[in-house]
Amino acid sequence: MTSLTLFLIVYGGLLAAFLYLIRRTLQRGPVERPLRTSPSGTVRRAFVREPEKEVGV
Amino acid sequence: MTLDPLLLSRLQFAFTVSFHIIFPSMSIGLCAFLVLVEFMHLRTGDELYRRIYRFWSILFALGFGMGVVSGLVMSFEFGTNFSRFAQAVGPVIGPMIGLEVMSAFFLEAGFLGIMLFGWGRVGPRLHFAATCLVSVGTMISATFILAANSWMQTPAGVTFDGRTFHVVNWVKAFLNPSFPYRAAHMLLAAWITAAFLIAGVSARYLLQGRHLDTARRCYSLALAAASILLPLQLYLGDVLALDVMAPHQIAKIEAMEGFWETTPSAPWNVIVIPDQRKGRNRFALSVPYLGSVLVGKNFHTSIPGLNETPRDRRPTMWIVFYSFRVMFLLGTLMFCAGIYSVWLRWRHRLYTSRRFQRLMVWLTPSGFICVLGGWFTAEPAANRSRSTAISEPWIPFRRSRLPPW
Repeated sequence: MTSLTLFLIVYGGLLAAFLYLIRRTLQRGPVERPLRTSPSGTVRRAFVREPEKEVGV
Repeated sequence: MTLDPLLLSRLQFAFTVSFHIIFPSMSIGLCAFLVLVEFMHLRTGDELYRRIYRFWSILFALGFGMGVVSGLVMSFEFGTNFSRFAQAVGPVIGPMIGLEVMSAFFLEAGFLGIMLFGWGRVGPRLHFAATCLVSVGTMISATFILAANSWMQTPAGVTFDGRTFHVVNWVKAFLNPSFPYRAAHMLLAAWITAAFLIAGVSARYLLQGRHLDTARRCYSLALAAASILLPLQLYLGDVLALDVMAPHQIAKIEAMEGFWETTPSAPWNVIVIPDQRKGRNRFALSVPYLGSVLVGKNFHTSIPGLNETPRDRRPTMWIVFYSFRVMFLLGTLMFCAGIYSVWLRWRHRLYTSRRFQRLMVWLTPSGFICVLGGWFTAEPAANRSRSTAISEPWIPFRRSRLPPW
C-alpha cells in the first residue's frame, strides 16, 4: 500500500505539474516576448555584445 | 484473478508505459512541426512563423522533459519486474535500448538547448540545423524502441541456447518482419497526434477570437498535414494488422474482430460482451457483412474465431476488442474530419465554420487516445499464458519456455 501511494503521488504530481504548465502556456498564448533578455540579465551579458559607448569625448 | 507479483508487475509496466507514450507522441510530432515552421520562416522571412515556433517550442519542451522523466523508469522495470526476461533477451534488446538512450541524451538533449535558447544567439541556419537534429533524434529514438518492441513481437536473427538469446544477424534482428510497418505506423501516429493537438488549440483560439493570425496559420498547416497523413495511416494500419501481424499472431485478429467461431460472410461487431471462460459472446451488436468486407475486401471472407487458438494462448478479448474499436472508430472520425477540412478549404470556409472548429476542439486529445488504443491492441494480444496479463514482452519466451521473471 505504501508503494502504491508513493507511486500515485509521484505520477499524479508529475501529471499535475505538466497540466498546470501547459494550461498556463495556452492561456498566455503565442504572445511576442522580447529576445535576448532574462530576469537576471546574465544570459544577455554572456552572449550579447553591446556596442561600446564613447566616453569622454 | 489474483493480484500475484506477476500480474502486479505487468500492471505496473502497463501503467508506466502508457503514461510515457503520451509524451513522445507529442514531442516527435511537435518537433517535426517546428522543423516545418522554421523552414517556412527561413524561406519567407515571415515573422509570424517565428512567433509560432517560439510558442510551440515551449509546449514541445514540456512534453520532451516529461518524456525523458517518465521513460527512464521503464529501463529499471525491465530489471526489477522481469529480471529473467532481461537476462535472456539482454543481448538483443539491450543494445537497441542503449542506442535509443544515446540518441535521446546526446543528439536530442544536446541540440535542444540551442533550439530553445538560441534564437538571436546563433545564426538562423545553425538554429534550423539544431531543430532538424532534435527532430531526427526523436525519430531515431522511436525507431530503436520500435525495433526492440517489434523484435519481441516477431523475433528474427537470433539463436537460443536454453538460457540466453544470441544475435547471429543484426540486420535480421533489427529489421525483423514487423519492424518497418510498426515504426512507420507509430511515427505517422505521432505526427497526426501533434497535428490534432495544434489544430485543436488553434480552433479554440479562433472560437475565442484570440491570437487570430497565428491561430489561422497553425490551423491551416495542421489540418493540411492531418488530411495528407490520415489516409496513409489507415492504409498502413490495415496492412500491418492483416498482412504483417496476422501470419504471426492470428489470435490478435481473432480477438480484434470479436469472434469465437470462424465465421464466413462475417458481420462487423460494434459491441460485444465476451465470456472468456465459456468461449462465446453473451451479446453482440453487429453490422452484417461489414467484417468480411473490411478484413477480406469481399462479402464472403471467413474471419477466424478465438476458439481456434489454444486456451492458454488466448488474449483477453474485451481488452483487445475495445482498444481496437476505440482506435479504429476515433481514427475514422479523424480521417473524416481531415477530408471535411479539405472541402471547407476549397469552399473558403476553413476559418469561418464554427461548428467544425468546435469539433476540432473536441478532437484535440484524439491522437493520444488512438495511440493508447493501438498499444493496448498490440501488447496484450501478442501472446499470453494468463488471460488477464497486459504489456509484458513474451513471445521469445513462448519459444524458450522460460518463466518471465
